[in-house]
Amino acid sequence: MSEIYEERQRERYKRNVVKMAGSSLSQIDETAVSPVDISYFIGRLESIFVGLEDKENNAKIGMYCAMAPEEFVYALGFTPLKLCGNHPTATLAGEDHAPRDSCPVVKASVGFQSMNIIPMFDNLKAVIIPGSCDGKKKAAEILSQYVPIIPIPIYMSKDDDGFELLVETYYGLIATLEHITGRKMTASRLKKACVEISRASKEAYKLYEYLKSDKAVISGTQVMSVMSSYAYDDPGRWATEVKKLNKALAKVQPNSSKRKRKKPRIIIAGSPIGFPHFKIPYLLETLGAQIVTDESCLAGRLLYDPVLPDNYSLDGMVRALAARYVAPCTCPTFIEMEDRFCRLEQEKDITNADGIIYHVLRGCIPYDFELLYIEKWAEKHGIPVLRVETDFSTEDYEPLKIRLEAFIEMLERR
Amino acid sequence: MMKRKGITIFRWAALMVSFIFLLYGANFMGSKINWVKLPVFSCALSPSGGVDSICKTIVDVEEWFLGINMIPSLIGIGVFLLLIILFGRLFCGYVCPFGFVQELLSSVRKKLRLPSFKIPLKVKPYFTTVKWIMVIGFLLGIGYCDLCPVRYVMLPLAGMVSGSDFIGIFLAALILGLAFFNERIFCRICPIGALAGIFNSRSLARIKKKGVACTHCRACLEVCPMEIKEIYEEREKTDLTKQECIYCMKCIEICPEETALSFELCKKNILVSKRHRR
Ligand code: SF4
Ligand code: SF4
Ligand code: SF4
Ligand code: SF4
Repeated sequence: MSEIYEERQRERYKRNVVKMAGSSLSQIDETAVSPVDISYFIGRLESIFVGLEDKENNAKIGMYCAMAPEEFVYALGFTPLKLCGNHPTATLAGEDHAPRDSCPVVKASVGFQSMNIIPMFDNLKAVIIPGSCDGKKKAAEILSQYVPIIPIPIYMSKDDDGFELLVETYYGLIATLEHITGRKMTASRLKKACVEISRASKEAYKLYEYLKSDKAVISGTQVMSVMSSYAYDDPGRWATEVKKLNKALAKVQPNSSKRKRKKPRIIIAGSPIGFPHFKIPYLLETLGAQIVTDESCLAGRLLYDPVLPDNYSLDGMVRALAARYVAPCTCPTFIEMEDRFCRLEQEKDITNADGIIYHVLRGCIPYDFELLYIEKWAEKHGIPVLRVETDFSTEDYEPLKIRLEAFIEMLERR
Repeated sequence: MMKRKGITIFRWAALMVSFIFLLYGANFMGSKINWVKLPVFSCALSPSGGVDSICKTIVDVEEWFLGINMIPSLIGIGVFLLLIILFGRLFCGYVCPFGFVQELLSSVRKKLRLPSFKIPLKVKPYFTTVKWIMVIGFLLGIGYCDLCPVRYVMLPLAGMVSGSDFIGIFLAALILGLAFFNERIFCRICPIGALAGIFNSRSLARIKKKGVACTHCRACLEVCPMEIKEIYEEREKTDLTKQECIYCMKCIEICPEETALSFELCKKNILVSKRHRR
């Protein structure tokens, strides 16, 4: 009896995930500002979340949080998958395991493992879970029911002591991964992985340069979908595709538009935004704003920082990776906030932004904590901030639309 | 990833040329240039060296004071002072043959992909103490040439017997060994460098930082041979030319943020950090 019930529930979950993913995907093109083709990336997302396929069926190691070093996984011959969930259905499923008030990303991440409906997420050798926030720490234990977990600590402060501890932690992670995969980490393997992933990083940097430019020929929603697809692709192949896209962007002409006034330029800051949770970028851009960059760790921040080793010994690269993943990370989980302010100020100056949308996922405490200080900072720098608290569901779509519309209008009048 | 170009190639070329000149120059020129004393370690005991460093002039004052070499020695000291007042420690990065030897050793280590030896956080402060003890010993000239590690490295390289003081040889071997695993470890306690470094705060060579452009990515600290923490940490101050800085420019070259770090010589912008796009 209960088996039948579970099977039915899974079917229902499946239908909802497919529906949500499909509708989110169909919206992406509505934000287009030129005929540029991003169908490769859309196609990847579609195949995973609508087609429910796993074409390659290769061995993978998953990771939650942008602070997990995927180079290690890649070097050992496994495909790194970024598993942070952003689907409302998964959040709902996750509520059977995690408290209602906890962060939707954590709930959805747990939810996806418990629903077990995405073939791409099968065949996971293990998952790496950095303890970047309390939600992630608690999620680790829950996830261990479904998949082998490798929790790694993230230290509160980014000072020298914290850094040296992290280097040790990364060595420990390598040992664990070697044990799980039965393969040996060598300097040349790691270097190859670093080079390959740095190709992706460089192309992502260029893509964002196109987005930040005055006459952007790609929309922010499109860029964020491209970045989202990175989570589920082979980094090398993804880099090659983004390279093609960047080449196309250099040539493509913007669609003609009847708009006279300049679009308000907006930075999306705050909690992560990943596919299919695109209602904010989608609404902003269909309501006449232009997203110039974002600080989402699932998009703009994901590949921003390069790996810069002093030398290519294993030690040199492990240190460089520890530096790359944590030292410049603007995550509010650290006790220092300054890095984030500097980043925002720099982005604001580079992009000539008119306003900031501060996205808070309901239940994501660290980002909400910083809002107050961000507001003070913004006042000092004369840039308006709108706080938007939401989750992955589409229920607040209409009120959200009204608020964003008013904000955009306000920016236009300034 | 990072490809080193421009300034690094120039710096290695400068170091090599000056290494050859400072070790074998007198062989080509017939005699040494003796009215210049350099703020680097170019051993004065070697007859084949092109130009001597200041060390022996300071260590063995009695040898020239009121002697026939009084005038050239005084001019030499004057040139030395002028050079360090104008350029601080700039010569360490581009001229010093002992600096070159240390860097060569650690570049072999890097090629062999052996791990580096990082000085533990707790031990670091002692280096400063040792450095100033070295300076005092150096200025007082107590037996310096007998124990000088430079001598036991440079003289054999110049094709000479260097003497056989056991402690001296032991120290030289120790320092070379350490320099293999930690780039320029001797420079951290070098008395000439320490003296020249005093003028880093006012010299014509400036390392500048634009704090807001810095992401605290730590890349600069990881490559800095002198492990100058401020270059990474500081955001408020714009001038980050620390006493220890040897102007190797590694920090500027590796920094991935546009205009975050830059080098100014005589108020002219020479080098600016930028994102490497390919
Ligand atoms: S032995 Fe050392 S201190 Fe003496 S002259 Fe040579 S390099 Fe200078
Ligand atoms: S600090 Fe290093 S480079 Fe400078 S003089 Fe001393 S040994 Fe030479
Ligand atoms: S601060 Fe920069 S220029 Fe100075 S020693 Fe360090 S890396 Fe070289
Ligand atoms: S390398 Fe540049 S961005 Fe990174 S910490 Fe140093 S100065 Fe800052």
